[in-house]
Amino acid sequence: MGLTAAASRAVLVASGVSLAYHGAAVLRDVDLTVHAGELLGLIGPNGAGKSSLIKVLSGIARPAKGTVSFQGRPLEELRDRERGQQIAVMSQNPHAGFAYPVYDVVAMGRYPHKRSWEPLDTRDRRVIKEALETAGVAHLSQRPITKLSGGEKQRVFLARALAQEPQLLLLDEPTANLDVRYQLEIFALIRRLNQERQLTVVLAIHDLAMAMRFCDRLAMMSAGRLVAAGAPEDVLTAELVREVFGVEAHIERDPKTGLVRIDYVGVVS
Amino acid sequence: MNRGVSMSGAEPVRKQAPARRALPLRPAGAVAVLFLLLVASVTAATAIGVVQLPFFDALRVIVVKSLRLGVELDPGQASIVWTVRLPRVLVAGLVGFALATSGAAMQGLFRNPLAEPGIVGVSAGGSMGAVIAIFLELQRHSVWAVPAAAFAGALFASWLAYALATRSGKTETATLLLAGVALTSLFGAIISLLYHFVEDGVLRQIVYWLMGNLAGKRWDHLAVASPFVLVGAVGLISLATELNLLSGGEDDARALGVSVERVKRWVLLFVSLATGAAISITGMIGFVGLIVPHILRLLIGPDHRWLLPTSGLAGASFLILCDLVARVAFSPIELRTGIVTAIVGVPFFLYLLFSRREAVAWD
Repeated sequence: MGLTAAASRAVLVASGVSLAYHGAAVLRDVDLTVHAGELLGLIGPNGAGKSSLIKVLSGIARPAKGTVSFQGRPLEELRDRERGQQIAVMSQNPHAGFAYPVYDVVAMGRYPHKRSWEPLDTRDRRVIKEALETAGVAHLSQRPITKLSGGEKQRVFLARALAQEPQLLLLDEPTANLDVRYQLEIFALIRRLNQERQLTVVLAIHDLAMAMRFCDRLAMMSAGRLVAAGAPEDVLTAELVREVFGVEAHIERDPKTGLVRIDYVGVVS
Repeated sequence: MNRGVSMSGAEPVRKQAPARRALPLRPAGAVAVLFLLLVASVTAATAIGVVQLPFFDALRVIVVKSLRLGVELDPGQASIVWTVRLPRVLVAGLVGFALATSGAAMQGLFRNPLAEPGIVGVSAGGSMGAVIAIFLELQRHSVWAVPAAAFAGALFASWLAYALATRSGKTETATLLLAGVALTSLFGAIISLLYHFVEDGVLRQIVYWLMGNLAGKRWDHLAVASPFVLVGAVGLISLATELNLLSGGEDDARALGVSVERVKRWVLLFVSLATGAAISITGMIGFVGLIVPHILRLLIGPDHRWLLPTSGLAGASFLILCDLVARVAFSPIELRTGIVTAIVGVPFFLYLLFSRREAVAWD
């Protein structure tokens, strides 16, 4: 499973979490523990509640029932800025609204560490520069965000999340609408951040083969419930894929590359 | 902190281009230019009129009087500049400042290019308050009855829109917008209803108020309205960083540590104070709050820390100059200032829009 004993400390614990949106239940009684240093993948069909769970786990949305605690403290007890120093989120379609230069967008990641009108100091500038470089967008820093391609934008918002210097990074389908190369690059970057900086990552992901390849642990959701959580091999089984996704799949590990291959045979009638 | 983690191979790392500014003006330069423009506008507007004065003489009266220097002035000039023209000019400046700052804040808060200061019903509520006061002939008791009723109406309207859009501590922006539109229609209908029950003389007073006017403004108008405008504008500018983060959506702002609900409440309150106070003494003047922030965004970029104060300064000059045109273009007939704001502002705005379209792009 790749988790050392020291890393199995719980960072985020959701217990009995339920959430309704305009009267419709989107999360039902979810229990989930995120361990320090792990890369946890959330999988499930569209509408299963992955995005809602990300919102609740990050404190963006408050659960109707149940609690989420971060390092032992209920999330709602953290002040907004305090939460922003610990937990960063990259939402599914992040945007800046206006044509801010890329540098300014990434600098927004420093907000939780500062008072409202406090100017950036040397340390802030260093953190921003490193975040820009890490995400590979340093050369774009003076460009207006509105003029970038989808993949470039995605990396800018990843840089903004890194500029928050979080303990925990939550990503909601960070590669939606991106081509294969960007997908691989983004996942490899997230994996490296996770391994080299011990950054705890929770990632909603729709590509099952990518999920199996990059995540330490998977949590599978269906209709607002958590139906399985554990090692990728234990969660992504043909039975569960059939049951949750309604798809007949062959899942096998390629002996040569060690990569998992998933063939979708057909729809379960 | 950076331990060699990078997107290697993503793209050949290009040498960073020398800081390329896509925008025509640096913010600090813009503040200086706009400040000079404001001084020039005030001078021109106090010098030009039925009685023409040299610019220097007008400026001298203003400087001598305001700094209480013991310099001998021509009494006729002093009276025209200091007693007749300057109060009106400064009221125009104050109202332009309030509307443009409020408009910039509302466009940021609602992430909507069509947002303007009155969008949550403030101006319609103010109009209704004023019309009811005129209908009840309250102005017989005090000259301040109509402005007070307008201010109360403006605050009441934005409170009502806020209350309608708020459920268990959360204000939904889309609902707030729709509630504002609905209230604006409702108050408009109530005003139209009152038309049926008033005599011609009262009707003329009502229409005159609704059209927005700057004629006959005195120093005490300025004194009464400016504290509210100042509190509102300073309050909005203090929230500029939060408005920057909010323009990317409320969820992301919350994730970055912004206390979103609190910021929304304060922005609404400050806009209501500034806009309510402004329109309570002049009536609603259109286009300033909508167009000036767009123009400034095109010139200096979208950062609210610069956008709010520069919009305020530009709005002040803009309205002063529009009012000057309204006064002198067809002298002795005075035009409504609102006609001039539209005729002057819209073509300039369209020019900027089409020549620098990408800068207004709403992502």
